[in-house]
Amino acid sequence: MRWFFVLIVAAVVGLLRAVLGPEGVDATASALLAFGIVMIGGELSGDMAQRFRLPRVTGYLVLGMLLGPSLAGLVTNGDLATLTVFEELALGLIALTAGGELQLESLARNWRAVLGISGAHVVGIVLLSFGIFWALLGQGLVLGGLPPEAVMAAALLLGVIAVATSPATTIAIITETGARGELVDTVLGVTILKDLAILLLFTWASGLASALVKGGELDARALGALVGEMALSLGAGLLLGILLGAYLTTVGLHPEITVLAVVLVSMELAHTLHLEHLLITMAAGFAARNLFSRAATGFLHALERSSPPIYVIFFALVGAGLDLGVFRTTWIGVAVVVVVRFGLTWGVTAAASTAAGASLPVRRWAWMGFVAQAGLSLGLASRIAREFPGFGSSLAAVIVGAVVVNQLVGPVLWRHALVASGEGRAQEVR
Amino acid sequence: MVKGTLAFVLLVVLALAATEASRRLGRRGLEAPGLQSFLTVLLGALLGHAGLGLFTENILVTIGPVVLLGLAWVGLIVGLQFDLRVLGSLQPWHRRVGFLLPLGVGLGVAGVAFALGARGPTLVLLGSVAMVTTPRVVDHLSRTGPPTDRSAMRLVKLVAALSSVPALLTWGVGITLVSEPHFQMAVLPGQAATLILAAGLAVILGYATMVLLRGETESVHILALLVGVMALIAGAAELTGAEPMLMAALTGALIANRSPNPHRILRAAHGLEVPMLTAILLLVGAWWHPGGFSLLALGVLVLVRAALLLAAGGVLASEARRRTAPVLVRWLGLGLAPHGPLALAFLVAATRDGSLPASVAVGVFASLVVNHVVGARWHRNVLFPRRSGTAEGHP
Repeated sequence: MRWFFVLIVAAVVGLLRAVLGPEGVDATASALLAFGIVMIGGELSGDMAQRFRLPRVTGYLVLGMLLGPSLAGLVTNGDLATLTVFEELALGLIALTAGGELQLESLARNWRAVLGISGAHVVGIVLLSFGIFWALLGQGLVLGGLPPEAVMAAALLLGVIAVATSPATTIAIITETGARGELVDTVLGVTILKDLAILLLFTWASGLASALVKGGELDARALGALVGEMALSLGAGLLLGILLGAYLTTVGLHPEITVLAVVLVSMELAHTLHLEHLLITMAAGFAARNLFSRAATGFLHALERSSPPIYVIFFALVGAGLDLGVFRTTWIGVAVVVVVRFGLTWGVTAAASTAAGASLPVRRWAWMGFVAQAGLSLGLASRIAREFPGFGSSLAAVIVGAVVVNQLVGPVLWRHALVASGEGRAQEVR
Repeated sequence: MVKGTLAFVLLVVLALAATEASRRLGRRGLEAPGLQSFLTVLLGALLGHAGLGLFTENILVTIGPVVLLGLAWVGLIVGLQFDLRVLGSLQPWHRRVGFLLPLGVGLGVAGVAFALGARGPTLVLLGSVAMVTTPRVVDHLSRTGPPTDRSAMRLVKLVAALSSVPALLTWGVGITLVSEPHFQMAVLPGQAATLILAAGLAVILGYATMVLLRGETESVHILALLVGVMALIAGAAELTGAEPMLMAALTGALIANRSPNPHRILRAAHGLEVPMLTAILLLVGAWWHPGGFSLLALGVLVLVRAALLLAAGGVLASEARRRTAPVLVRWLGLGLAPHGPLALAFLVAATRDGSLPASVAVGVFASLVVNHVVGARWHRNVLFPRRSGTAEGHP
């Protein structure tokens, strides 16, 4: 019955758009309609996913895919552009929660596993996947026939992208299952460290790939500038976190709007100074939680409780932004990339966690927390398409396809890991 | 986009802080009747076109959806309070005066304004604003002590509570009729078609919301669904040229009367009321361009309205004497002088599309302040003569 009414509403929205025609639809009106249908449908798709013992996030993603430009078209590309600010806002709130989850004491307890797994991913997965993809690409398996230098460049870029994960998905599932424990702390720590490393890695790899394909030398200055930007992002985030913590401790008025302002300040800093929005907000959450524990903890828990609408917006818009058309032409390449990444993530994580002396749940389940991929990988894919005109667009299509699969499978696996390890609980079906 | 939104949210924080500050000042005995809402508008004006010019045109266009959503939210709350079960429990003459008295005052004000040359959106705004009166002053003061006359207090609360219905209907229908239609139909004039379409959409969305909210107990989910529905209403209103507040009110009324848990929904909706209201009030100030002051607006909304309210108060008092208990206080009509957030929302809606002359907007705003101060003084000196320790909430 509830879905029937959502379908009626969706039909009315579609009819209105159709009657008035594309030129008759004002951008503001169109974005508001898209936002409304995403919010309503998101609540229901989350419930439905839960009924099938899937994470709510998966429901939001599927809804986004169904409504997006690739399928129903109720959320157009123009709407996605208009609603970017909401997506970034939601990402900032999610990252703030993620930073708030990180506690110094638990990091100190698990530092060996966190560093071991992060290092193994950054070195092991990159090198192994580079080798495998080099061999496969050389056989024309993923992208068809390419010149040798392009094969090497594409393998390098695929190797780096294979390490990327989705911090937003990781934290969303942690929040949804209310998980606490060593597995959570380890995976969250690794995810954040990898998020720092992937940007550096990608800049290095893309410079190297560019030198391979177009000739010339690797630009070390770009890497240096990136390190500077990341340090600045962390610094700005810590400062914002201290301000937020101090405000919550001393004034404490309208905390929800104050946090919104903090996230917007981060977005503005990221846009004007080319800093990393995710890092800023994550560092802010971390500083607020660890330096102003009493005021920030209660507030961050409240933020977690009110997170469902934030996740609806973020994941449904991510889902809508996924280009499903790529599967028509690249499904073999996508399947190969997904299988290779899947196998390497499992093997390398298990080996590294065993070597670091991590507990059994970490050894057995941690890899499932690194499968999901979302915004960062999609952003890197679009940069590849832009920077490598020869093979870039087909490689980007394969990456987007792999992200679609990983983002659908990853949350399901991570939720299963948290419930099976006993750190999280399966939510009751509403 | 981000810069605009950031500036805006920072200002909302500032405005909310100012609200809290004035509330705390009030607690110390510095009474500031309805100060918060008016301060918010003035803060917007100070930073907007009329003042420092921090809100550029670009920023204002960017945050347009927030205004539409805010207006829809105000309409939703009015609609959610329109519970036919409560209305049915009132005495017939109470229902009659509750609806007809504000309507008479509004039509009287509009008639004088028309005679003085007001037309189009200005006329609709003056008439609608004149109808609105708020029960919040009485609600607030009644918490500080008993009134001198319970019969008068009940009558003021009754009329104030019901006045939003004729006011919103007048505004919604009136502004649609005087606006350019967004589309034409062969059999109906564009404006009539817009009204029918708006009503149809509101009913569909109202039923959909009711079904979606059935069995929902967590306020975060209720709020998410309501935000979604209000976004749809705001979008549909923008698309069809309908009035978002009217559509949202219709949806809200449907929910209030057909949903099994309207109170829970109303409570959840109230959770976002203050931020939404603050946001739209800030923006209305920011939109103002410097440009004169309409004495006509001030004259009809203060003097003519006060005269009509005094007359209406007399009628009300004589009806009460005849039917229930006599009213002991003098000048009962002045108790109906303070406007509520709905009047400010009308001003926001009228200012939004730029069809309202800036001088009229300033004149209406000044009238709202004067009426609020006059009404609040009457309440404090006549109905609740004991000195209260706090200021009111939003007027």
